[in-house]
Amino acid sequence: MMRREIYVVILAFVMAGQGFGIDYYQHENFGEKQPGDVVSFTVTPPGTVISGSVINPGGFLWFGGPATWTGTIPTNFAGVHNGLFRGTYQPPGGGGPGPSREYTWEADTKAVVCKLTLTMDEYLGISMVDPTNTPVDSGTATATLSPAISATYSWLLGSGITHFDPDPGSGNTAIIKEEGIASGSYRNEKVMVSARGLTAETNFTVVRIDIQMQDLDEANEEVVGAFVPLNSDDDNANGVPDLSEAPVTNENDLVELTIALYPGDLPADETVSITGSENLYEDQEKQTQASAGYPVSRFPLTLWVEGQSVSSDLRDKEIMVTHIASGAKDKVKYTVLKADLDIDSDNNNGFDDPDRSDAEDTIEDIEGDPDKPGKLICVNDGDEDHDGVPDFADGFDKWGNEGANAGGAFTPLILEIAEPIDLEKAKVTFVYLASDPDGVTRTGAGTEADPYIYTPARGKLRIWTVDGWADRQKAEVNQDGDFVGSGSEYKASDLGSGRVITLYVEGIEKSENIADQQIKVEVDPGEGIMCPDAVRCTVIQMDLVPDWNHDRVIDSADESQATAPNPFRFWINDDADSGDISEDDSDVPGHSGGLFGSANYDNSHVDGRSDLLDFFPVWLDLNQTLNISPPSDTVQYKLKQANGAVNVVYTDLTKDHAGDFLTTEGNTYGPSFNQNSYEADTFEVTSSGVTLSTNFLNKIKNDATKGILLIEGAGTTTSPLVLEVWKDGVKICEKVMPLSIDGVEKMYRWINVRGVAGGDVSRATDTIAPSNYPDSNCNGKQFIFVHGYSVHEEAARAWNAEMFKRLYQSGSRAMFTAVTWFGNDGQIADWIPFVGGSTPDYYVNVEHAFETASNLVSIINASIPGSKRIAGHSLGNMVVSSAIIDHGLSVNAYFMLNAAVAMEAYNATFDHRNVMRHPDWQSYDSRLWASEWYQLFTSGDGRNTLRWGDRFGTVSAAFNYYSETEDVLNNANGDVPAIGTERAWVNQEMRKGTTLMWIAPGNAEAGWGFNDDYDGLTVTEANALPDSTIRTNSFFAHFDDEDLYGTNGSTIAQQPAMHCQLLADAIPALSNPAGRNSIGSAAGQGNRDYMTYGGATGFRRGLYANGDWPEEDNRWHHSDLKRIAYPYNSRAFDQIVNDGGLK
Amino acid sequence: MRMICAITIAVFVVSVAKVGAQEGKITVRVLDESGVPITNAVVHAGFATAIKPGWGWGAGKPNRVEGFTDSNGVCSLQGSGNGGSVGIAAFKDSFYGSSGYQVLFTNLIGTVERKWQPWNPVIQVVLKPVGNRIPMYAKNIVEASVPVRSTPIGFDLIAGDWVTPHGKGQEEDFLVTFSAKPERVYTNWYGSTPRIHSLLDYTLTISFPKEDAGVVPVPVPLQGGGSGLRLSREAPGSGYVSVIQKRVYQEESKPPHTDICKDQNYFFRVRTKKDDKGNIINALYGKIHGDFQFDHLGKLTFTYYLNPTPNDRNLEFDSKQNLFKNLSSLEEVRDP
Repeated sequence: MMRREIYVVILAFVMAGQGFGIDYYQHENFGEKQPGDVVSFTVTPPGTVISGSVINPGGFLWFGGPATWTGTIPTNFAGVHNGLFRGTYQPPGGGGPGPSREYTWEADTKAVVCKLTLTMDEYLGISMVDPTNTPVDSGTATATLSPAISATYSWLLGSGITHFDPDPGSGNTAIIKEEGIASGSYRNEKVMVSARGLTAETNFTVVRIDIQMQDLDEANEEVVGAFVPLNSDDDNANGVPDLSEAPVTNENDLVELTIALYPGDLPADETVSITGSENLYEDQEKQTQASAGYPVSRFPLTLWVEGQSVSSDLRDKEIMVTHIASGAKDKVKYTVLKADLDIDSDNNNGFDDPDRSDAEDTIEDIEGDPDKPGKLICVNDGDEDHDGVPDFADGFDKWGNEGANAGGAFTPLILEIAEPIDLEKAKVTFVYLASDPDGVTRTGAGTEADPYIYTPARGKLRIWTVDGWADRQKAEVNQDGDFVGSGSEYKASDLGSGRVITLYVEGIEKSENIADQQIKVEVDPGEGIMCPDAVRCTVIQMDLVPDWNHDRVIDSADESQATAPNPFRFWINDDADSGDISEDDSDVPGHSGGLFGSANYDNSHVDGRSDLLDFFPVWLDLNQTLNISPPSDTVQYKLKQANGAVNVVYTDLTKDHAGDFLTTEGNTYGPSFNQNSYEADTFEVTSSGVTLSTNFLNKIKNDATKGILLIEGAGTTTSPLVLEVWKDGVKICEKVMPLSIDGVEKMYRWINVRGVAGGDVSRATDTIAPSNYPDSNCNGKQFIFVHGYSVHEEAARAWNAEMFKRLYQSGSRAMFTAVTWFGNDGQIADWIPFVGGSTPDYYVNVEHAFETASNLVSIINASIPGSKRIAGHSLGNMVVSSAIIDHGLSVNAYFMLNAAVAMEAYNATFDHRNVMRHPDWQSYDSRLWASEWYQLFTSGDGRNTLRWGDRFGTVSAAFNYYSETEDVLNNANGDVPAIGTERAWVNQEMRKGTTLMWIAPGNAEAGWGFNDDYDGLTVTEANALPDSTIRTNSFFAHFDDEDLYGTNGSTIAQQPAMHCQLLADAIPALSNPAGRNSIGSAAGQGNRDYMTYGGATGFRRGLYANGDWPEEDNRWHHSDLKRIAYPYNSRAFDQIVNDGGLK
Repeated sequence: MRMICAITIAVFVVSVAKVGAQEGKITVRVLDESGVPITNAVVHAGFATAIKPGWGWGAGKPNRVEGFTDSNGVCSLQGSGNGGSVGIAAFKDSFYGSSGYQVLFTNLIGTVERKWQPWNPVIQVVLKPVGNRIPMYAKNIVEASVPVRSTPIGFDLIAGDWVTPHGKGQEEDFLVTFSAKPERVYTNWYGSTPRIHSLLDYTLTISFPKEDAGVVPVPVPLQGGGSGLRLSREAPGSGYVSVIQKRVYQEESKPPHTDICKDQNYFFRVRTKKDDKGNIINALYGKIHGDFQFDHLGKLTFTYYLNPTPNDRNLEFDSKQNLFKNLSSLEEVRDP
């Protein structure tokens, strides 16, 4: 305590003393004096003072003399003063009668000097440990008079932050109490006292020390206390729980604590002590353990509290700080809680509950570590119940999609609210990027053509109180729902019963970064203080994306199209392709596998370029997942198909070139990516799953656009293709691609009109929507294909299947209808040696073409609704042209493919009679020819139509696809063509009327036959025959029906059957075939030469010399549209698709 | 006057095509461009077969035989087929392959002997050596609609597109003018049924705005065989014409006429710059395989190659180094 003395000098009497032998005595009494006062006196003996000295200064400081003396009272002097002085003097005249001597004098001084002293402790330390925050520290100021004499004291405080309690009155003591407010600065406070005219004062300091933690106000520091989470995780990811080690990089579980000391200018060397420092650190990462005391110079001080063991009772731990000098102190109590949130952070439990191990705890909330992605959760975009509603929109009461077993599997999330938290009081809040289930939107009409499209609300995750299998309510749990929203405060009981509550997490939207999705829980024990815990997860979205619109590019238009009710559909690769050119029945679907089978699916490689048509590309969207969880000894990626119904080829293709295998040569296929596409190895996708090669997966990992698999159907199935990710023997994610594979003939309609012309029918017309390619998958347009000559029903299956497949692979999304008609009449049975299988009677089949047309039109009009495109190949064009021109079939486009029809039929100006006439008739006037007989009749006579010229006329909807290098339809050169396929059509025209009946069962009438009646006429004589003669007796061989020459000839000629027969077998064409030549504007939509249209090599990929065509002659032959492998001639189909608007 | 019997025999064999398989023989002489025989060249001969009756009509899978040329550059091959033709190709390392050669057989004599006629014809095949293959801009322009009729519209060969604002091109390498006369119709009568036909008349003009730029027409038969390198490896230094025009039309009662020639090809020169003395100091050279094709709607199709190196007349294209990227399958050019 500082002491302050106040001296009060009290006047005293100077008492004269008379000594022995002293001639003169003088007494000086100064009375009451105060320190510092000055006193003086003069000795006045009788005579003249000669000398003087201080014998006893009496505590004063004297100067002067020898007669006059002045004294100063020292400031520290208090009490009675007794001074003594002596000297000599000379009396006047020597001093009287006696002998002369020195006379002496002596003087004494007296005084009383008074002092007032005030004492008080230097500090008042505020105690903050009182939970009521009442100031309790006090100090006593004591005033002391010296010498002790009675006095009345008066007290005064110098500032307003303290007060007297009680009122000190006039006594010499006063009690001063603080008011909880610290001094503004050191020694800023003052107390004063006065007594007996004396005053004294002293300064002191009110000190406050304050702990701040979790925003607790002072009143709650010990009543409520702080809450500190148990530091049991592993923020430095070293496998050691953080509470067991120090330092800890990235530690984030310690709770900040700040200690403030007021006033701020206290002496730096004073000390603050800390109790409870064993749980404190000077930094968040536990690098420096806090000490038990710190000099004032370190304040304000921030420390970090670690929860090292779970509290057994609320507020059972405390931290107290004390300013030693003042006794100012503060205390905070805290409770270490374990509000534990656990998820399968080490991804070894799949959809089961997490291990909840310490090891798992240590990695549950680490952001950005590629090795610690948190729980991998798949975007829940499957379709568990196959109802067309994606799982993220299914199984709860939105859009009527409630119901059990509809939402897929969710990931368990365990919340434990441990003792001593009172569950009745506890409040729980989750914070995460939630996607509100009520925010799911739906577009579309819900029809097959316009199905519902569901879109989740923005957000990455959902938390539910029940698993995805349950029938859920979209409302939040505090509103009788099952959804745990973000930011909502729930009672613990809202989430479940007991201290361990299982919740379920649903992935909604793909993560942007590894472990970017934190699920944080904040448990408020009931006092407004949060006890947090958090886990992290990475939402992964892997996908299997087929080229849904088969445009050879896999892009966003293909994503999410395949659904359970509307799976991706493809055909079984059950034809028997090999090499580059098809042979006979190799394109017939339905070949069997097995030991003696030849189906392409039943071996382990691609069967030539012809076989590539039977594969479809699927893109594995796996880049994100692979970069999070690359393949390793513990991580596998598997493909699975329940029926083992698909085989797969690895490729190095990218998704924007997914269809290159169909058009371009490549040698980066197969397991080592060094095989040609057309001979690459395949492997079966088994029901138990086949692990994808690391090499393939690494390509995807390094390039997100890679990951194309070529897939062939190996059997009928409606089970999906499944991609699974396995880790440590546990499946952590799967993605399905709904799939339906069946025979190709289940993908299009079938019209069989063979019976119209008397042919046998094996498979009847079936125009019901195909089971494996519903109309809703198509674009609403119809495409009808009619094959050509010499195609029996089995061969028609091959033709139709190939045409469907090729158009499909060129991007056609039209509904396809296959037509077969009786164009192989007269075909000799296969078993007959030497000639078996041949179709010698071309003409009767031309008749059948005409006969078929009307019936075909009836069926099409009745069964094939909507806008139509139709294509005929070869003689099929006689069917189609007749259907359009004669029977009014309305089509938007007509594709004349290698039309085996005379050009003049479309425009009579085409005239190649110089080369089309039979050489035997070279010198005969054309008016003698059967082809020109019509000119002998007026336009109203039915016989005027017995000609090919303008038989059909311009077909406005027609595209004429022709080949300048046709074999069958090669142009005439004036000679009767040689045997073989070359100019076979010209040959048929040139031999009309010349065929012997016994060899070929077709008619042999008119044509280039000669009428025996004119035997013997010279050419000149013949040419001179008048019209009237040859009108009734033609120069050419007679028609079989002689009545044509009679008066009823016109009527007979107009009979449809007769008309067709005569055109077919009696009237030779005089122009080259349309399938070999441009027919100008008669093809209303244009002409396409396979050889040159669309580029220098036409629809061929290129030349044989450059490896881009499979035949040495570089020609596009009559049936190359079908028989040449699609990679060589795909451009033709691309053009057809373009022309027809078939995409 | 009557040759029915002979014809009937022939026709019968045509009809029952399976019967018609006969032996054919050819001899192939393989030479280089200077007429020097090439030894050890591989010769392919595909003897045509017919699709088995009932499975369609036309050529089936050819019966392929192969052999090597001797020191005289000669290789004789014999094979069987019932198609009536044989296709021939020859290959030799460091040469471009040649293909498209064919012999169409007659069988007027051979039917009896079961040998295709002519028997053992000699076919001469020329192989061009592979020279300096270079990156080029090569592209099929497929059905590019001429943006405006009767107005010259620029086409930029490096951009592969019309010049802005009709496309992304910047340089008018050549101008395309498409014009079409109004469509007329005429009526024929088929008996008492009218047949209405259109009479079209449309014209395409290609002109080169830069002085001394233009094309040199180079006809190469579409059929008959030739090298995989269709044209000479270098563009000519002169002979360029600045305008070509093609017309397609039809007159009443006459068949259509077209100037589009399937055998036509072109060298071209664009972006010419001349010095004060009139000498060409800068030009880009290229080639067009096939003719300009166009229809009455103004859809233009052609295949071109452009060497981007000024004044370099080399036009040997390395198809693996197309300077155009991400072409569609229809736009892709594979021939050198």
